[in-house]
Amino acid sequence: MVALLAVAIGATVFFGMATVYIDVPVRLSTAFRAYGANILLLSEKGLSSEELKEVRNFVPEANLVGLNPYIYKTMLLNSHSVTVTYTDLKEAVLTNPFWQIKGALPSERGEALIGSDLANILEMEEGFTAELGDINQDILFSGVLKTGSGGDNFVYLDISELGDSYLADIAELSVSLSGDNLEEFRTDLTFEFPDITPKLVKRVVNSETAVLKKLQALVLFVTIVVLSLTMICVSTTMTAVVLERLKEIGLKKAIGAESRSILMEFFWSALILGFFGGIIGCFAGFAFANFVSLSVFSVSVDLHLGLAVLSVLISVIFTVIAGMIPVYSASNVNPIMVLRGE
Amino acid sequence: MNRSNIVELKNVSVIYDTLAALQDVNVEVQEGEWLAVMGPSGSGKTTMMNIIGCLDRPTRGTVIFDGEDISGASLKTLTSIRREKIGLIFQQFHLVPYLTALQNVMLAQYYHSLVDEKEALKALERVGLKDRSSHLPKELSGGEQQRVCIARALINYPKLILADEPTGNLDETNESIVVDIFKGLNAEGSTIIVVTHDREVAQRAERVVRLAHGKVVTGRHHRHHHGAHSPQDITRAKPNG
Ligand SMILES: Nc1ncnc2c1ncn2[C@@H]1O[C@H](COP(=O)(O)OP(=O)(O)OP(=O)(O)O)[C@@H](O)[C@H]1O
Ligand SMILES: [Mg+2]
Repeated sequence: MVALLAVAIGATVFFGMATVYIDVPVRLSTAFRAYGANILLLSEKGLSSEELKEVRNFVPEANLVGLNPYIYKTMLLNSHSVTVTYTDLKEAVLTNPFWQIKGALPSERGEALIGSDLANILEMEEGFTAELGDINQDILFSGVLKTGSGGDNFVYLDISELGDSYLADIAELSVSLSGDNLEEFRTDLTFEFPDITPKLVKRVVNSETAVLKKLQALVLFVTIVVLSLTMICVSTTMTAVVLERLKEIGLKKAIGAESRSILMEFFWSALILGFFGGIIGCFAGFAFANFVSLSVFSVSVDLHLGLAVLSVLISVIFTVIAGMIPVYSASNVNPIMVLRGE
Repeated sequence: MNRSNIVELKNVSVIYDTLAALQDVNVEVQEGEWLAVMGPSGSGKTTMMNIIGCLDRPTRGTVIFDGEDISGASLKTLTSIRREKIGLIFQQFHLVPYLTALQNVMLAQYYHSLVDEKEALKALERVGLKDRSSHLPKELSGGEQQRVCIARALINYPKLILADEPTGNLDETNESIVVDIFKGLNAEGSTIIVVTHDREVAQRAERVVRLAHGKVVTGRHHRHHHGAHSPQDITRAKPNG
């Protein structure tokens, strides 16, 4: 019973930690997308709206965080020269989750966002209207945008103001991939769209990869330490179980049992123990990994079936090894030594 | 009638470090005999039983078991002799605590050949425990546990039954039940060797071997064969001075 518990705990740790180990990069690369786009799409002849639609379809849906084009124009705003940025504002807030908007996103034509620095200079706020040169109409600022970067001097209009088809200067793409997966995706993209040059946003990507590697190393380290502790625990428990049954082993030998049949008996019980301990451990480990993932990333983990099989296998193998070492020496006990009076 | 010897010890010595637990012991036990071994504590009784029971090998001397010289036999050979030809009965019973009485008996069948529940039940019936067959050792009295131990010892029809202080932990009632079982077994032809401190137990045997300081002091034949014990026999079995 105690041994079953020890084995189950061992398998729990292994399965749980391995699940976390596998899941962390996936979860984190999603979480990392809070730091903005990790790919910039460039093209010498500009990015057409059709091309961007194709790119959007090319990105696996599960990994797409946001894709938005940018078109920059210089215009007069109440006779000040300003940069007007056309972008898909609904996507832009997904790609740039750190954008802070005081007020609301434009909801109809003729509405715009104003960068916070520009708003300060012009002493404007959300709800103000102004005359925008080229369009020759009044626009209403539905909100003030703080991007936290150079973009705070711009006026932002939704790309729909330009109609259905346009030619973008640049586009931002945010995908929940990191490390080698991201690099692979970029290569695929280059292959699929020869006219487009996808550039990784080095500053973001590199620091993400570094953090991920460190985190995985940490999880690996913790797993190894905890696992070796559990292994010691399992083998100690097995030793205790065998010692407890030393008298029984001596008796069996005295009445004519071969060492080999005693080994086999323990072998089967260790096998069964490892098997059930492993299965219990898988359930507990899954619950553990789920708990960790839910509390850290607020998402539940997927059940890795292969990993479950591996955990059961490992727990069986280890239980058998840990169990058979003390059993082997116990099977060689001298029955007269253990059966001697109290 | 010339009965053959089941065991012969010739100049057997068992030496632990410097202590000689047995010293040049010569003992012959005939098939069908009921022998009692007596002697003070530490005189080497258990040591001798271990040699006869193929649980141990002598430091010096020759052991012939059932016509075979086993003085230098391998542990494997000794194990197989124990399995095939010897039934062991212990003072502390040594039942497997998590097995029922019946399963404890069947354990000996398991290592010997095939388990046969009917046979095992018959063995328990023989020691008067048929109705307790599904009880665990801890649910049985000492006397009942010892009878389970006896049933386990005789289940494979051993040529030799060895009992080291079988009544050492029993009260008089149970002692006489156990001795009666031995008597029945001996009447059917089993060879029995019993180590005992109890004079009354020894008196019911055919012959008593006495040990002192690892040496045989007397090995005295009763005149009768198994079966009826007259008061005279009991007198003869008593120590000589
Ligand atoms: N494994 C051993 N190592 C060292 N000495 C031993 C060992 N086994 C027995 N002896 C010694 O050999 C002597 C004989 O022991 P043995 O157990 O045969 O005595 P016994 O006649 O059975 O005594 P008791 O009536 O107390 O059971 C004792 O002095 C004992 O201490
Ligand atoms: Mg003794």
